[in-house]
Amino acid sequence: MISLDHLSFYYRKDSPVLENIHLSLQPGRIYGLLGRNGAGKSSLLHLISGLLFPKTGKARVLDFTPGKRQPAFLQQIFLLPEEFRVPDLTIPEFVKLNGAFYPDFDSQAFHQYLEAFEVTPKNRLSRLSFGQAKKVMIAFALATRVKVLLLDEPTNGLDIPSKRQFRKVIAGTLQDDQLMIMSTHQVKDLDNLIDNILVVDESRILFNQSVDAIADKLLFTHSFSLEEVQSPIYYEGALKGYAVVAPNHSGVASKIDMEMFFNALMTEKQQVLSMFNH
Amino acid sequence: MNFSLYRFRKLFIKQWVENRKLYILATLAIALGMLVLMTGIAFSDDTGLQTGGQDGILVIGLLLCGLAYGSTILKRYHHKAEGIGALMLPASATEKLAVAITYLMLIFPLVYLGVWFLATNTVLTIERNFTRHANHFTSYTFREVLMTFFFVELVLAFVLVCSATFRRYVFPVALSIACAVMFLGVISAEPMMKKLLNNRIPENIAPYLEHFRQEPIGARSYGGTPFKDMQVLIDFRIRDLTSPMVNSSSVSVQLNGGKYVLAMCILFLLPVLLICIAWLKLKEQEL
Repeated sequence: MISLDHLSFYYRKDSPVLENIHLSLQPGRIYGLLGRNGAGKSSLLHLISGLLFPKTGKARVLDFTPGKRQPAFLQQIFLLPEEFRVPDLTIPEFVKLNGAFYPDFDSQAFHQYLEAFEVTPKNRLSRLSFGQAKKVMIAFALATRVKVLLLDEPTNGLDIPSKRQFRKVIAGTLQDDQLMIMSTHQVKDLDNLIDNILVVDESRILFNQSVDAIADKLLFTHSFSLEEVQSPIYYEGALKGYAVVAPNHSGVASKIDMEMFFNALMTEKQQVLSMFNH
Repeated sequence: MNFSLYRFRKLFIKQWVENRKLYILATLAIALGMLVLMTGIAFSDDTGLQTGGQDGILVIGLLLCGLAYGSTILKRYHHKAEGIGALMLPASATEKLAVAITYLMLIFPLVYLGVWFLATNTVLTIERNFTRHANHFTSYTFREVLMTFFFVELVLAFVLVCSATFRRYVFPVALSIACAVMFLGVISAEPMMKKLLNNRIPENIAPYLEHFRQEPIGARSYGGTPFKDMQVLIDFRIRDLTSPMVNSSSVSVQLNGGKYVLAMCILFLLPVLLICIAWLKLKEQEL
């Protein structure tokens, strides 16, 4: 569905944003795109959606070259940016004007999502708070029913109840022929939501594994004492003892703590990567 | 080239609905500005609102307002927050540009022309009733209308390219470049016309020469533009006299035949060329 082959992108040749990216993403999955600020997450999404053109290498999305931005391609992909500007329209006007460009736009679903987000559908977009407007845009993005849905920092600007609503809405929406990539540096927001983790670091894809594979290889646990855990990879002080990431010797999957995993990967890159490269 | 009438129609409506308040307010502001300016001229000028003043407000206003409007028409594609939505909207660059062209190069001049027509006639009516001036509404030949139309379209196509090219300061940049090009045009007009005239007596002034019963001995260009008309000084010598005295008389000569067609083709093709450049710029637009 998405295939990036030796893809590189830079604004200045001496400081690459993304370098030699190889990636193949399949439908029916939600990918969490993680990385530090400025790691290149947004640039990767922009390359996939044809807003930036690769300097070298190739990108193929849904059998299209994204940079050509053909209408048939754009009808099947939606990118919700981190920051956006809403027109001075009511929500029904916005939906009527923009939904018409997406052949599979589901107006009924849009209203259901709005209801789940507790947004009044008659509101004027320009009078909504950023968080409220973001919820409208998320509802619109989901209702387009596009094959590739790219959400850049979708939870930025959402309050805590809204983040819960967001997780609830996303959890039941993905179809088998759809693919979703959610980029975030607030990794906790994606807990229990994603199927695969992609980590961008130093202009490259550092890590690309399924959540199942992570749970298979790593153990996420709490312990009063570090001595209780066999060869911990990473640990943080917790309310009672330690939160620990360690090799999973038991074979029993534990609940992944996304933030702990990300921190473990960033601080103990070689050790974590070596466990997945075998 | 990917073009769908359905998407064009949807884009056209979207542009209108999202900007209608601005468009209505801008139209009212232009109308008000024109009324104030024209009324001022009608009551303060000794001769009132003559055709020259009407022409000036039409052409200069059309160009300045066109530059201002045109500099914003593709602005959203450069702004990161708006650009993502605009570039990702499922329509081709051709359709998006076609909507911009329709608004900038078709609807805007028509609306401006309509406002100018109403404002001019309103002020002329007021002038006739409240002053002793009896100015009439300006009239144009078909040729003048055509030339002016193509010239305005050329300037609007130029600002469209600027709007597709520059991320910031589109209006001042477009205005500066337009002024520089016009200045170059003015200073190059004389040599161009000399080249066109080539010191020959223009054929289409024969009736004029007959009237004077003098023998033409040469022609010198001294003003005008090659695209409209040129001001020519014809040197005469009185017939049947051996006197070396030479009289000169000014005459306005319009281009005819092949040269006229060539000038029209240039004026028509230049906007087409500029639109193609704007299309390429929009197609290659990155965030």
